[in-house]
Amino acid sequence: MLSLMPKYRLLTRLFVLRFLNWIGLSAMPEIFYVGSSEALPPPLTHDEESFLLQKLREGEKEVKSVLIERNLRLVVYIARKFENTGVNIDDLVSIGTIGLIKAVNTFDPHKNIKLATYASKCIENEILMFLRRNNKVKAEISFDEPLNIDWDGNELLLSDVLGTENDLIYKSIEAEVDKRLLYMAMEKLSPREKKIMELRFGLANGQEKTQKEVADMLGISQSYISRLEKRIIKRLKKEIKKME
Amino acid sequence: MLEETTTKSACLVCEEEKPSGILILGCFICDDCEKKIIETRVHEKEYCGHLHKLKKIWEFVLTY
Repeated sequence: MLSLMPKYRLLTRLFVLRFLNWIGLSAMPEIFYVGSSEALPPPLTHDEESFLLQKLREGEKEVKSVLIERNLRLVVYIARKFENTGVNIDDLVSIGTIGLIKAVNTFDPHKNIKLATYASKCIENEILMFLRRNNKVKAEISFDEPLNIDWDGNELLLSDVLGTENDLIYKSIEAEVDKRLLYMAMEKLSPREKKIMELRFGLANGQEKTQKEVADMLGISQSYISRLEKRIIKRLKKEIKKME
Repeated sequence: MLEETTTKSACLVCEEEKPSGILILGCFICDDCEKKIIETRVHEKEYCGHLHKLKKIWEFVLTY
């Protein structure tokens, strides 16, 4: 049960938001946030979160602001994990904020997970998607793009520095995004289709099985497995394309 | 600048005065723009615009 003081504070905050909106001052200059990320509002307790989500279900849209603000520390925390990707932290926190806004709007309280858990996945996904796109745009640069000229007048070309650590970072990000997209797409499959893919490509335990082995395990013919596999892969490609 | 934006209830993204929306660290985002932000994917050209606008939320918070 939400104790009286936090509940009172949240209700006061809601009241203030509504009042400001009503008098046309929908935002007050909250200068106490200025100057330090430490001043960001603290995360919600479990009871506070439940209380606000209940209010959101009841149609009180004002609580969205509180839910977003109180998870902003999460955005900074996750954004900082991607600082080594060469993307500015200002961009990373803004991308993370977009992820957080999406999270609060798509969160399903019936799924029995904390908003912060769901939001951190959304924030991370948003940043990964951006990095993936950024990487694609960067990939359009010519390999012969001159990056610098040394003392002797020799040009340092992009092709000279390919395969550096940054490249490796992007590769692992790409792989991570692909993996996540695949798992998200697999959620659309039926349990049997999912099982076939897990067995054939070792998605569950890293051990791939042949079509014959899978056919024997499921008590169907190898040719049927072959047909199903083709169909499932086609569908997964379609689902992934939709998400990109 | 913040004062001007907020006292007129102008949306951080579309810069128009709208009646309802969300408020993040004193910055107002109207319902329409919030919906657009949710629906826009990273490869769409509007995405960078949203990103640029949302930076304003953080310029009063982060110091390095």
